[in-house]
Amino acid sequence: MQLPKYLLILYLLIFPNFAFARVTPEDILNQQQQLYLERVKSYSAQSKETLEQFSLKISQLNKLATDQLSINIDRQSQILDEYLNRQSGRSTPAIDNARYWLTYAHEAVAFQAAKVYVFNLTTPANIKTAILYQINSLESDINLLSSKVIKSQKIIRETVAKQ
Amino acid sequence: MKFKTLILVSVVAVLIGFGIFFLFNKAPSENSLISPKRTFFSFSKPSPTPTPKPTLPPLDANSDLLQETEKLGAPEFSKDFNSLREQVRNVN
Repeated sequence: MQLPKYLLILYLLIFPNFAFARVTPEDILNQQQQLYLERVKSYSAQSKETLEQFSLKISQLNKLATDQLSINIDRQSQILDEYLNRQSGRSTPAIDNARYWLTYAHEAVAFQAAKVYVFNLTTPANIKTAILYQINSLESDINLLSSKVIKSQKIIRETVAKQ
Repeated sequence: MKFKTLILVSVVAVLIGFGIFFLFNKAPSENSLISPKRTFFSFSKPSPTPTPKPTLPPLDANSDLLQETEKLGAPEFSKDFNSLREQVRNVN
């Protein structure tokens, strides 16, 4: 009987397709936003205003930090380019390594700049906790990002010190 | 005949699979999670006019590259975060 074999093939071909419907980071963010908007409906006008105010402040602080780190990265790139020019445009393993870590830091800065922080609301009485949690989360992310920028800086310093 | 049946079954399975995939991932509607009307960006949009980055003096053949890397320094944001936390604690 060939039918069970064909049914098995049919089963294997259909169900793996569900893997295409994977959850993306955007889906998770949208889910968090949806949850936030549903929960904040029952909050007082003052609480909503407080949440909106601190959401904006967190966003502004993220922008401030990523802008400063972006300037730092741009300067590192200029330094590395100038160093490469002085080597008559000939790249070395040290320059390639520096370029790799610079690109890594640069992408991390861009990723952080686009990040959105959504408050995880529980009860109206816990607004401060929710806000503080996101501030701590942002600080942790910025500290991690700073370490990547500093690492790139250190590698470039070691590279140009060889001139 | 067997090979043809196998091909036919495979094609039908793939078509059914895609059909199910698009059914569960249809275009965003009012109640779906991904809806432009319900974006959080209305709360946390950055400034509409991007502030121009400060321009640093350009580097040339006479620049001391090592000194330039030393000038970069280590960015520090702890004061900003502490200030923000203090503001939260002072909220009524």
